[in-house]
Amino acid sequence: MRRLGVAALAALATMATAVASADELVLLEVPASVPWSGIAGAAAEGGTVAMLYPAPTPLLGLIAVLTHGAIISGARAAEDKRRQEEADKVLEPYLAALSAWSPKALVQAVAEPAADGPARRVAEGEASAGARWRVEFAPTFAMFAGRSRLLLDSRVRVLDAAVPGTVPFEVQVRVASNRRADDAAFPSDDDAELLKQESVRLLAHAVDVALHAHQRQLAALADDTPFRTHRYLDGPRDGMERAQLVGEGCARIVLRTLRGTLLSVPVRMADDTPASADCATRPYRFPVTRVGAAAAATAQPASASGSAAAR
Amino acid sequence: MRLRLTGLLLAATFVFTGCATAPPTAQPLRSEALATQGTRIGVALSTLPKPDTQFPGASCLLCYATASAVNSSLTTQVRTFTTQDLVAVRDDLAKLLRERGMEPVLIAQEIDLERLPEGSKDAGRARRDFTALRSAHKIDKLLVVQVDGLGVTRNYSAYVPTGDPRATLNGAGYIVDLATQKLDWYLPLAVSVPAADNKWDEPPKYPGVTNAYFQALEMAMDQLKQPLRK
Repeated sequence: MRRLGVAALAALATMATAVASADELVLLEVPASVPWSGIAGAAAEGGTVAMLYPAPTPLLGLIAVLTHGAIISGARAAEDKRRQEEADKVLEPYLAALSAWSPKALVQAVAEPAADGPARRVAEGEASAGARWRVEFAPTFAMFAGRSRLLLDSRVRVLDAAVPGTVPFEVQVRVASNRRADDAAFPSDDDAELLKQESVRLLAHAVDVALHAHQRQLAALADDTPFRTHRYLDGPRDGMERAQLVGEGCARIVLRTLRGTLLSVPVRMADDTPASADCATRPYRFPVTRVGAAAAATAQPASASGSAAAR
Repeated sequence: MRLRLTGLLLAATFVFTGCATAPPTAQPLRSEALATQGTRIGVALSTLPKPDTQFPGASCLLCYATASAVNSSLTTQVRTFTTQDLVAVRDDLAKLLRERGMEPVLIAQEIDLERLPEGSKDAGRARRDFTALRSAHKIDKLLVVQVDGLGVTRNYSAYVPTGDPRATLNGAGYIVDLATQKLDWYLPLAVSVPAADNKWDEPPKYPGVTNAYFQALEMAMDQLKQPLRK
């Protein structure tokens, strides 16, 4: 359970609208494709089986071991493929709508004017001229078995045109969607409109999270925050992640995992936490005050005035 | 010569099987166990083992040596894992007992079960004699969190791994009535968690397996706390 740093969010939102400028225009590159898949469950635990090798000579024994290994490895690969094919069936009602939805349409929706934060445009033609910041991503979406939750994975690169030759800031971001009311499946009879809207929100949030990390120069600050086991809402059950707390949004935390990737997940709110009207309309909002590396004094997580994270 | 060999075999049989005692079977928390308000209950952890790797199924000596060698980098990482998170369960369990009207007594020192006298082998009774703790801490009952093994387990079939490594924790949680040595509650723990995203082979830090290890600790603690909630 945690309290949201409402005051901190409000202050950051005010700052955000104040600092957005032409110099901070962000261009969003259109990815070549946007794959979708189902989420397969974890592989079953392999049991122990006693095996006697026919080994009249060391060479024959080695061949027997290698053959045994190849058989087990092949069986496991086939099982993984079967589980993924089974999981992908969850997308069947939406396939027609998603295949007709171009990556450009997705990015155009992500670039819609935001209420705060830096302005965004699709990187194409004249719109690209003179802009300093460029964001590249390679999103992949996955749907959980109940058809009510999504998972976005994307590599995000932030390039600064003002300093040519610098290594782009690059980070892997994962965003888990919120639970839908009553865990209802996304409808498929409306050209999957709600599903598309949710995926746009997730991708826009992933860009915000990456820009936030870029602003904080996260790699340099990585050791300031201790690793702890954080709890979050993974559908109807608790998820857990050993990670550093990077920031907080609307009933949501952003973590830096042991792999160095960023993970944005929903969390349970304390019962006495005041509900924010802004969070009700924009559940994935995440404060990005400016583009580019911040000074050390401002390089603090949004949670600085919020609650402590879980254990 | 033959007599000596027979004696050796008998001794080996005694050492490896004679002392083995089956652990108690699972027993739900008895409703009357926590009925008397103000009962003083000690809350203790057994000596925590150091996290390590295990390779069940690699049953011949050469098989085990091969498995150990192949997974040596993983073993090195697992041995750096901390058990500090697990210690917090003592406070959490004490809090839950207090909410149920008990008077918990935190026993700071870990209990070395091997150094306690053997208890009863009867069903429903503690396998160790905890009587000494009764007077030492002025307690009526004792809640023990016993961790027998934790770390990472990878199943083998002789020389060949049959699955990916999984974080594991084995042990039990139980409440002993110190007047009778009867068990008021016995919960076996056998937690097994795969590496995050089913990706484990990430030397040298193995973040997926490391994450799974800490998840296993949390899941074990959840299992221990659940029956004690009001």
